[in-house]
Amino acid sequence: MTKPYDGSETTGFMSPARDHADGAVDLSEALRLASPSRYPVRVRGGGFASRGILDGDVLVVDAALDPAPGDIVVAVANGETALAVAEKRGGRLRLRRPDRYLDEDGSEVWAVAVALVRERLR
Amino acid sequence: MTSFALVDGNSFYCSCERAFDARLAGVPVVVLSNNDGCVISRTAEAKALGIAMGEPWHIASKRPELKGVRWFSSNYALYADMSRRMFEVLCSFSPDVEPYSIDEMFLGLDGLRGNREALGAEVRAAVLRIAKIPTCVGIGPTKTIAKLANRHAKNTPSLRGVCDLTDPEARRRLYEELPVAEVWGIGPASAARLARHGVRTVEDFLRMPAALARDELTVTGARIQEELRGTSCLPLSMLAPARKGLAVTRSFGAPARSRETLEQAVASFATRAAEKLREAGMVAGHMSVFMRTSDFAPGTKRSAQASSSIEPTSDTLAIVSAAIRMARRLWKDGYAYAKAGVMLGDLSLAAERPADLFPSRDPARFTRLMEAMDVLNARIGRGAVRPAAAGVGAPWKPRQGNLSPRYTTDPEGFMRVVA
Repeated sequence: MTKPYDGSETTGFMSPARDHADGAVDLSEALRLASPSRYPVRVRGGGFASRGILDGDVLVVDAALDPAPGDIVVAVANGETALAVAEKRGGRLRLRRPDRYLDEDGSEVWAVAVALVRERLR
Repeated sequence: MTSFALVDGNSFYCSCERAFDARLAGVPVVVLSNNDGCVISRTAEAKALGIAMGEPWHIASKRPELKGVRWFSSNYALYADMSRRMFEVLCSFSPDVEPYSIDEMFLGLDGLRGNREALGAEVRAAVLRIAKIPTCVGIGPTKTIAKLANRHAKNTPSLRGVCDLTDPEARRRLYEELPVAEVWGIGPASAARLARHGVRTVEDFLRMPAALARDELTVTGARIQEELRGTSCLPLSMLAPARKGLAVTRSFGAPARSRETLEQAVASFATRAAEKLREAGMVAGHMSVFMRTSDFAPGTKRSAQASSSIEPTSDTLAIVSAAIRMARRLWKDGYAYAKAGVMLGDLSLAAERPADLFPSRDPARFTRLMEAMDVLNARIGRGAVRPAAAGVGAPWKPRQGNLSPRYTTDPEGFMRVVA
């Protein structure tokens, strides 16, 4: 491994920035992927394209957050893991899939989506 | 007063599989040992079907009533990451967390306010919600009592996963009933020795004079008595004991009949052993290599082992070449080898060793090479950079007939969510 270039070994003039080099940005750190509550998940299907979430995207979800109205969440219902929107209805939080509301019994929030990573822009 | 909680993952490996596969909820699940050999983790549903721990799966799976059981090869990369999450959730409650094993962790409760049982329930809910692992929590003034409380919580669903045995009266009632063999540190052999003195329950054991307990179970016996009475003798330890030896051994997926295949297996075990050595910051001064045929398969049996001192090192290349030299000496044609291994001994901390007067390698150059190799392997994946001796294909690789994805650590394996 060669040392990453930080301007400290220039041959002519010493770099005035040499003590200020930050190195490459660590997205894993920025997205707090090392936190015990954060999980990366892969989106399958286009039902949330209107919310800007496309097939193949990676969502970073956080299992420690309480879902608030408007949040996109990962919900578990009937043996399926699916995206849903948390909505306030009649004073209670309901989970809405593109085509229907999930039953309150038998569905639960697994984690709340906090970030999106798209590897290829289309 | 000192107080401990033991947080123990329920069917930990199965729970890790369930965390990422919603179809596994409520169905019997088992996880098998290396090579898909025996049952090493089972859910309550699998236990109810009569599946025993350690049961060989190739036999058990033929039973018609076990047709619906979902089985998995062990996915240690996943379990390690989920264990880390569980540990870190516990660290948010108390600075004193002792990781006792991959699925059991002691939590020091000293200095935490509030009702202990409520705290136990809170810890349990947080681990379930964040690390996705259902647990039981046992609480007591000693580690031995916390462990016992944990076991009681597991066996008593009405406790909802939390049992606090801080109150001596609650303990007394339990001790009257509980077989002494349920106590942490008292194995079947000790229980049999105690039975000769008419000791059956924990209460019987506590009535035994300390001198007699010491005679029968060495000093450990007297210590267990003290711990069961509520006097803490085992403090939390945040550091793993220094390793005395280290082994990488595997059963092969398919038997090795050629010298080349076996040497590649040995080279790859040696590579992993050297990596573990460097992770622990240690060097090894002794090495053993063994190979043997299967005890069960037909054919002539052979078991061979060689040991020798080596120049203390953690250099993969030095360790691999020493291992291959030994394997070459041990090799005999005409056998179907089923298992081999590399053991390193005489370990010492690399930093504590005096510099060699006449080292056979340039130590600075070697350190840089090994660091580079470890960095690349950590970044690209284990085995990305390895000595050529470890080979390219791997016919000896263990059988993993139903390995789940590395859901949390491999971008190809991330959990799928339907949008």
